[in-house]
Amino acid sequence: MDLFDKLGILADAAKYDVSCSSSGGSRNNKNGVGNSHAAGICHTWSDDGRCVSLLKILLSNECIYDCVYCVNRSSNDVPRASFTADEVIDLTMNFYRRNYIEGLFLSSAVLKNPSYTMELMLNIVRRLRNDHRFYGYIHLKAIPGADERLISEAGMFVDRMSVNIELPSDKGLEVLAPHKPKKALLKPMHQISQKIIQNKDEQKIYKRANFNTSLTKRDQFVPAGQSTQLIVGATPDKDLSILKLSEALYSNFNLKRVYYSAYVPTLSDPRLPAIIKPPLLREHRLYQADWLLRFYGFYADELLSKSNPDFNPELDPKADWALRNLHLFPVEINSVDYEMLLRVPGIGVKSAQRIIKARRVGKLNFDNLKKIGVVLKRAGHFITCQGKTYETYSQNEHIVKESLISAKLLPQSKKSVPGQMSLLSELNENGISEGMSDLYLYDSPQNTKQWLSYYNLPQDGRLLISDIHL
Amino acid sequence: MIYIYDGTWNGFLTAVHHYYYDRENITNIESALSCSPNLIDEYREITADIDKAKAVENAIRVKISYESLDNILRCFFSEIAGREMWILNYIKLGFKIGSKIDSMLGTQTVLDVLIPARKVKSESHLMLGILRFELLENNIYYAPIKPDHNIITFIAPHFKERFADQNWVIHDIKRKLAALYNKKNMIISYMDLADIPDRHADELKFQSLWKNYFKHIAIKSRINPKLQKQFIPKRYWKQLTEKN
Ligand code: SF4
Repeated sequence: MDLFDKLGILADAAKYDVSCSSSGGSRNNKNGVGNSHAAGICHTWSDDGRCVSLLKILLSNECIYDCVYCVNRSSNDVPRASFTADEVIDLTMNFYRRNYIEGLFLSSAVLKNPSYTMELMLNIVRRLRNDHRFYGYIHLKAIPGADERLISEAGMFVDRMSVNIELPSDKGLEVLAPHKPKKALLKPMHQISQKIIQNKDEQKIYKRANFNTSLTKRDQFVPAGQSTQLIVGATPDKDLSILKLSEALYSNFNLKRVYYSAYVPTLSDPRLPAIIKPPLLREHRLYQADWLLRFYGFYADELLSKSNPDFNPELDPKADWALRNLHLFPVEINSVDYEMLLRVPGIGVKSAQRIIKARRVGKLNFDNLKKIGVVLKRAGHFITCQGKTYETYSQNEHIVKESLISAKLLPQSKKSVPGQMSLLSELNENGISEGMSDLYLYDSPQNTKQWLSYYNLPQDGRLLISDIHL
Repeated sequence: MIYIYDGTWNGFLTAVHHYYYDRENITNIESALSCSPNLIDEYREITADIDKAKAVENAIRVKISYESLDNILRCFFSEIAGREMWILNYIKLGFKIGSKIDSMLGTQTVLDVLIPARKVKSESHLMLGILRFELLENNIYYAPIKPDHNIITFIAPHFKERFADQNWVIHDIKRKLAALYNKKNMIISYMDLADIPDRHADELKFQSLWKNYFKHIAIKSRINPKLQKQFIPKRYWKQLTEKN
């Protein structure tokens, strides 16, 4: 089989893993090629609208296991292929040098046995770093059940490591993935998180002992942290239990990210629910809520409860929460603290930060807020500005609800669309009319000024490429 | 009175310098590259003067802030028509109130500079991802771009750091401007890169592998061209290998 066909098969097999983030890396280029950009960089957007940042492939889809929900299960009749180490390295290097990707996301089905597979993967990442002096981003999927030593060693070469839990409850796992009890999955996650903490402590001691930080940097264990993925809709789990699980993962295992993937029915099996369409709205709501956990200071129990275990399809979780807590509002924009500001519907992290900054130099009015990017249609129900309420202000719950629903762009509409990137559109819930890439508003490369003088070179000093000896 | 400058950053700053020291009443500052004089207005041609320009740059840094200088710089390179007077008004306000201006995010004079600056920032960030190199036969990686704004100075340092061990050219075709990097030094200059060498023998192979990868990663049941377009406006597609 040629490389072209293999790539097709092994990209197909990997695409249901939604994580593609390249953020959190901090590797510098040391006489080789590549570095990481702290904010991550999207290199293209696939036809389903997802950001493509990493070359996401399986090393092999020849699986010995038979997890029901998985396309690669052994009993499924699909074309099979495995890359050689050279092929993976060649693709990574050549794609990277053309600026197609930020790095590699390597995962694999279980070939022969977990340790054997892990060993192959370890070999690839080691060679990329050591032989090819590749400092781009690497995300490696740890194979549950592989020798701990292999996972630890691989962690020294990669930026991020993940173990996919896939199914949010033990019961689901038992039925659908008989070979993967949750304990077996949590074990490597626990191991990775322990290693990260231990490694950080060692670094601190090391740093204190001598100031050579460049040496310690090289030996960082999974510096960009670990992540996992939960499939939504393949089991009867409620949103509440999924969100509680995420919350626990963030706090206990220090996870950087939990990804949610609306279950895409690729096979039919009596043990699987008969879903015709992937539950995209649910996935979207989970991303919104996850965002609220990580950046807005919310707890899962505030958003959902036993009597209210699923998200409201009509309202985003924040608006839904605000509506249930109308007694806390309105808040005065010019004095309310940052934490509460974040809880106002229509105000995102960016506009909250801008408000804090702007009000230091003067009192804000509604017009200022609009310019800052606050969506007054939504926020107007929850705030006062120098004691005044907004024109549409009302304390009647029904009126507020109706207005929020009509002001909210439902995920089906143009502005915010479900999917992995919906969490980014979430920042845009405020309707700020900025392009998506603007969400990544981090500082552009430094030291630009020194090059500016070139702009003043006389035009007749033009060079031809043949004149330059590169 | 309308000031005409040569279109460069230094030329523009020189005009600002003249505004302050010659105390003339000016209604506009225009680049000679885009200006079409009429018979009614009075014009004065400003010659770029490095010392004057540096003095203004310094004054902005000291009397206002680094952040402001950065925003002004980006706003200037947005090349959006009208930016010169926006910047002048911003500087006038900044000289009065100092670094407080960086926090006045709801004020129009400030937004006039901030919004173009943000556009430049966001296009720069987008370009870090969507720029595509092709390997040429003489082992130079070549990337043609056509950005809305004049962003090459903002993006080139990123590629210098990242692709430190390869020869590359980033070529702004629209402005006939290029950044050249030879594994040691980088220069950015106006230049006519008319004769681009042929592609390397392997180039098309990797392009087709990439296209094939791109085709396969989309999940069919979730195809969403609207979302895709929201992230990357269509006008940029031409430079994407995978979209051609
Ligand atoms: S072990 Fe992984 S690849 Fe194999 S069937 Fe299960 S989920 Fe799929």
